Amino acid sequence: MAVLKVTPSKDTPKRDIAASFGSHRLGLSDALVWALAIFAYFFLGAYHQLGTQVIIMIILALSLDLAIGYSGIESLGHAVFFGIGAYAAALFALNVLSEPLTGLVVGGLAAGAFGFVTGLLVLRVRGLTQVILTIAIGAVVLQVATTWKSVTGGDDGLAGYQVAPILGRYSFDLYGHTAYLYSLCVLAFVFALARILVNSPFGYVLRGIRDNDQRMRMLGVPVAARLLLIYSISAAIAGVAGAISAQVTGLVATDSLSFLLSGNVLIMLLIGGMGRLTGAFIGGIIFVIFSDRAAAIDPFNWLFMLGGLLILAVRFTPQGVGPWIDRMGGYLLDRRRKP
Amino acid sequence: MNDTVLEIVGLHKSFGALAVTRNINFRLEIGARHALIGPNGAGKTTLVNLITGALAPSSGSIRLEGRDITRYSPQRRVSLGLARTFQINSLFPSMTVVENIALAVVANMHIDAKLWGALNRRKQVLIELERLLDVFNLSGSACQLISNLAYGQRRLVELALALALKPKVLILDEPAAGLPKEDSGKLSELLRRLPADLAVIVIEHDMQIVFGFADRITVLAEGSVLTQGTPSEIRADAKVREVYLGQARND
Ligand SMILES: Nc1ncnc2c1ncn2[C@@H]1O[C@H](COP(=O)(O)OP(=O)(O)OP(=O)(O)O)[C@@H](O)[C@H]1O
Ligand SMILES: [Mg+2]
Repeated sequence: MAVLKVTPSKDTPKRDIAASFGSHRLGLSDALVWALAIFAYFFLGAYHQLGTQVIIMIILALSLDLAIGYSGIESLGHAVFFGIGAYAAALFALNVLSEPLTGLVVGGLAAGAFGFVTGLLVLRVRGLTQVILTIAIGAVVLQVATTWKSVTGGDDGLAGYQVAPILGRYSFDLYGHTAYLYSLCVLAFVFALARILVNSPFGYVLRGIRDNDQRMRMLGVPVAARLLLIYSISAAIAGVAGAISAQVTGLVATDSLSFLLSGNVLIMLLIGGMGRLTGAFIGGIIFVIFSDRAAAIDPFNWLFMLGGLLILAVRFTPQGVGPWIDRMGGYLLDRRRKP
Repeated sequence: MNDTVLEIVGLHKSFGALAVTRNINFRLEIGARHALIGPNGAGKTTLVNLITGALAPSSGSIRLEGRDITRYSPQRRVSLGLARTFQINSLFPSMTVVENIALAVVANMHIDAKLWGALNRRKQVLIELERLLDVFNLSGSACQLISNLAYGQRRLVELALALALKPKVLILDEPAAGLPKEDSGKLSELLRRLPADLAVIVIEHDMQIVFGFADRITVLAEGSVLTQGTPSEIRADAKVREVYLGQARND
């Protein structure tokens, strides 16, 4: 009986226990993506704006991954947070201050607060009801944005606001070079935060809730409060993505709130893989570039091509292509890792 | 000195017209080894659900260390020291064994809202995990996903989760359900080594485990307590033979 009671006074636990956790490790796919992003800066030429789009979508997809992939919150309304962040940042630039970093914070806080309030409702239900609820909230907000012309500019959206140079030094140029690097820095920051989050005790608790929320309750964890926290964090990150979008494009329209955007981000995650952070990167890149190219080749039928891509992705890589790339990486690095 | 940890008074539960728990009175002392037996459908799991708060009783009260917890949420009861295992495994299938147990450790250490500081770099957590893996002989499968684990081992993880909570009262709902014979022997051995001051209620159909473990047995039939006594009293009880042991032999 002593075995269960007394802590054996081994001061240093075995290292292999720490290694038995599926923590997010920086794998080959991460290295690849970051190298590519910096490399791309010098070779994008006229495509810096597209590159910036990719980065913004990655941030949005990361935020969705925290909700769906890590916590099992089934949201098909993440564009709402993106849009609210965008409008908040634009309104802030129009009426208060043109300083961009504060604008990001404002966008994030506005969306986070909206996530907190709607979370009280959305997180009460699960499954299909939850999906539909998030869609419904999205529809309501879109309706409000379209009608409330004095604030949102209605269908015309908001434009004509100034964004001051970043840190008073780097002004946004016409070619989108600054915008690209700016978004990339924010992405790096968000990614670092997300990584800390998913590896923390809280991050594991979220996965536990996703797997079996009943049992998590019976371990004494206040599940509702934890879900509300991650939902608000996820909303805030989506809001930051929206704020960047408002700042670098100088325009916010109602499409930033649309169901289409919510759906597209979900597709990115499906392509890249959920619950692994890197999926957002891979999915975001493939999705934005593919739809840009497909739309250029056939402006009328490109959605069909997108559908085809999605079917292929789900058929051949149900976990997304992220694990697939990591496995290739693991293959190459195997010799070094395992004796 | 009052040694009672758990006290149940006049507990009653009906689902519509069906009374599943009828006027149950019950008292558990520190370090108790109590078995709850009864035929299928006697209301054993329902009683556990009432005690742990998964169900609300129609009437009656439940006290934990003198405190009335009848209206407390399941979470609150767990944090006050009431833990259970499930008749049907209730684990985290897409996570590894060590991650599963870590969730219980995290809950017990109240670090479930810590947003930073990697879980697998926390020394206290790792030391506790190593201890639990050793106790349950699970070190070898620490990095296996639950969904890839043999059934018997899942039962052990189920038990490890409950013990990681360092409870005062532990309720085991058919821990040997579905275990092959040799594994249920190992389980008996594990049960014998539970901390001496932990009060344990075990629900079990395997009489070898029951009689090897319990110092007191309550027999439940059709929702009410048929009788209560020491293992030898229960063995000798004619009523029990009739409703339970006789039936079990016919199975
Ligand atoms: N939610 C419910 N609604 C209606 N009836 C229920 C409900 N839960 C349990 N019952 C009924 O209550 C009775 C007792 O069920 P319970 O699961 O407590 O039995 P048990 O003693 O644990 O049986 P077993 O040995 O098979 O596990 C059964 O007749 C069952 O059908
Ligand atoms: Mg039962």
